[in-house]
Amino acid sequence: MNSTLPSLAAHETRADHASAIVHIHALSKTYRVHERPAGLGASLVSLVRRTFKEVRAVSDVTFDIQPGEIVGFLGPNGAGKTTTLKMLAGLLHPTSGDATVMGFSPWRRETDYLRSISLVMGNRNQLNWDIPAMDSFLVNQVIYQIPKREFRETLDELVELLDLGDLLTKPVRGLSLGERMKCELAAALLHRPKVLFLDEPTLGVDVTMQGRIRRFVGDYNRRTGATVLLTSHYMADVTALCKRVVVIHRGRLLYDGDLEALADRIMPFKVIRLDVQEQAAAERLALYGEAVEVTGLKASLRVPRADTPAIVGRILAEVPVLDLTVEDPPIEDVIDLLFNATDSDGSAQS
Amino acid sequence: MRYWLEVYRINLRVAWAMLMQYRFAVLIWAVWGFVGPLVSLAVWSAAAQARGSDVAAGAQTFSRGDFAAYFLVYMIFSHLTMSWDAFEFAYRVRTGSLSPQLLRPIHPIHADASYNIGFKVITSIVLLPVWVVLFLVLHPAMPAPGIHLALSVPALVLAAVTRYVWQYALATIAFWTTRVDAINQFYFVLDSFLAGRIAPIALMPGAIAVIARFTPFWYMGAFPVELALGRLSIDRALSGMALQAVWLIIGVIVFRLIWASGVKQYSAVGA
Amino acid sequence: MNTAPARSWTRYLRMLAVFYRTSIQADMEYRVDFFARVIASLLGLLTTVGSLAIAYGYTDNLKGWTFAQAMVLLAVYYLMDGLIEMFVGPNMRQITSQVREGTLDFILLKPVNAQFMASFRLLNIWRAANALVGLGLSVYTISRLSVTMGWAQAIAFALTLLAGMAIVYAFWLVLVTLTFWFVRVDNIEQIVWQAFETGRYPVEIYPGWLRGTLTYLIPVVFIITVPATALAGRLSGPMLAASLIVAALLVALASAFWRFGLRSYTGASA
Repeated sequence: MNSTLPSLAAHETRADHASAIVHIHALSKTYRVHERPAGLGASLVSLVRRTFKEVRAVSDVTFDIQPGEIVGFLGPNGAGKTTTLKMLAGLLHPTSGDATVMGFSPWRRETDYLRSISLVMGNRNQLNWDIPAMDSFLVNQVIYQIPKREFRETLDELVELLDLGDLLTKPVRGLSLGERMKCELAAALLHRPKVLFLDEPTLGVDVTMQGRIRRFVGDYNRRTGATVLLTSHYMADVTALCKRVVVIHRGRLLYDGDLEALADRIMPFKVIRLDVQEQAAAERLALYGEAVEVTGLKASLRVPRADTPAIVGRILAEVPVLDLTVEDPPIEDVIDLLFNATDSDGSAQS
Repeated sequence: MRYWLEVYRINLRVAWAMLMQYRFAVLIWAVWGFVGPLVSLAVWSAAAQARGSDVAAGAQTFSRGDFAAYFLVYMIFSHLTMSWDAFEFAYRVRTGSLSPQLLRPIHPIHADASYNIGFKVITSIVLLPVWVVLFLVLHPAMPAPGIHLALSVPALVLAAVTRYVWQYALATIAFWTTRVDAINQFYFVLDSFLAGRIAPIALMPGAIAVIARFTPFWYMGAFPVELALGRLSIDRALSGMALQAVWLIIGVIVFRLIWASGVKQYSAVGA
Repeated sequence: MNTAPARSWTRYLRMLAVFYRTSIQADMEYRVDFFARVIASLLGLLTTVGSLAIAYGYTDNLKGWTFAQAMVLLAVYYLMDGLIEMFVGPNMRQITSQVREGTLDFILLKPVNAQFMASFRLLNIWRAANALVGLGLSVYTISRLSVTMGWAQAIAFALTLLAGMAIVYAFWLVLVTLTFWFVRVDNIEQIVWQAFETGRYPVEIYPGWLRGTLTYLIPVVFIITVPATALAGRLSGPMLAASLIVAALLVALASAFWRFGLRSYTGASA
């Protein structure tokens, strides 16, 4: 790490290692990818002599999760989030390193383990397209050996929390994307998993539905004490649900700690938004800080966190201001900056 | 004209790239086409052997070598004239992937036809050695190459184009119903009996043998094969090609009519 | 879990019941398919029976098989085709498409034997049409041979049919497992059908090398000829045993290969 990102790699000292429900230690996954050349001649040659390229999807990742925690798992596309989740759900063997969840080695896929976890993938469906979700639920009841009474209770609870109503009796084919996702979530939770892996659960659904799913995950976590590891491209999901985030980029762990502390560390700025009375005043604002945006009579400025009160005082004294607010920088910008900094940095390292 | 050459050239490139991606799958399809004629050949060889003499019907006789020649030529000609658009098209209508194609300022048949040509070129590279091996193993009684073989080339091209247009017209029925299985099966039955796929037409029971030569199926199937094997007179060859052209023109007209009302139907449903 | 898990075989039976029930339910959405299937099946029958009849028009005996006997073979071919399309085909195709779309993961996530779930999840009830046509034809053709069906004969027929299905299943499973490595071979099932297709005629009509392949390499003989012989009441005890042993062996091999493929799919063997 270079000077732009001081002490990011240092893990926070979190709650006792021994009490954790998920342990991940030096977890790595390398794929061997067959390089497929273009063109007839080259592709015929490649039938005989195959060339492989090693792709490090996850590299030396270590962190713990405490029971009942909701952890946001962040990183750009291809960072290794899904690969990590799949290893934790037992779908992939790691190349090296170790992980235990509730004391199980996930990739041994023991029945007792699979019965107490769930993986929800926002872009894939487990529900049968042609039949009502309820029938798929009944299949899961038999597969997970859920006793009748428990099944009824859980189902009633899920119907209420997710507002499933009559969705369950319609063929899944006819549901909207958001409705389908709600049913997918319910299908994944019928056996009351103690650990829940959510991979982009709000992908492609509208803002209202996103909020609903978000609230539901929070409720479920509070009611059942389930541990949740969540990836999402919508920062709103993460800010609403997760106190703690784990950030990976190019397979490496970048940050593990409080979401708020991350912002302080990466972007020690505040954003001042202003409405001014005249055009000339807006133009003068650049004197007080880095002008992020100036459009007509509106402007926003980025100023060092520590100097914020002083600068606000000066602006109010010297510029004709109609309205002024001070905000934290948007978390998207924080993450963006973090990745960009690592990109220029990481290329030098590898 | 130059526009069309350019359209087909660029479509062929796309088709080539796609087929290379799926080269093994493509090969499996291609080899699949050889199995049917080989099975028919086995049946008829056994029949010829059981009789202990040539199978004769009317003026035509078939020895075991003649059967081998017939089905060997049939399998390669059938490969070169095949089309699978009826299956593909129903799938597109059902999944809605036809819609973006309809938005283009060019009829989808051209992209499909290029793909069809690309498929035949790429598979022929691999099928030819297979065919040569079969040729050596099966000892066909091939006539010496001559005017008949030369005439069979344009006949084959006409057969391929005619079959393509008729199949595409059939495929278009998917605009009204996406369950085209039974319709395709019906087409396959007619094709099997009337195009000489399961037996040379001459060996068919009287009525079928007579009717077949008036249907488009024979012209899209066995006609070029019988021509290549020197079983048709030059006169018959020329009149046959004229009839091929007639069936092609009828096919184009039918296709355009079905297509126009089909698209109307498709957009009315709002798929 | 607060109740003790049920004994495993009853549990698997219950799963099978719920799998098939939901499959049938899903198929009810496509009721029209049934009639389309029956028509398609009868038309297909017309072609094969027709081509056989035409060939028999020139001889009354193909390599020791009379027309009536060859028809029994054809009937069993149709029955087997229907049974495979009903029980095996939908599952095998589903695996291929799940590998392509990445949804096979959902099967691996379930606390159930993955091979069981992947192999028995679906049932195509409308394909029963083909099986029924095949069964009807079997009964008809065998009655024309003036063979009377006894219990032993019926059981032998059922057993050899099951063994035949198991052999096709084993082959198909091996091919499907190959898609774990080569995703782009999604029509690989055609290889099964190519071999299967040859089985509707007496294997004796094929040249020696092909006959050897069809008997030993891809035991098409056990898929159609043996059940047909059982139906005609001419099956010997050793042949019945051989058919069951071959089936069991092939299924065991295919399962081992599936597990190996799964290990590679999850990166365990890499």
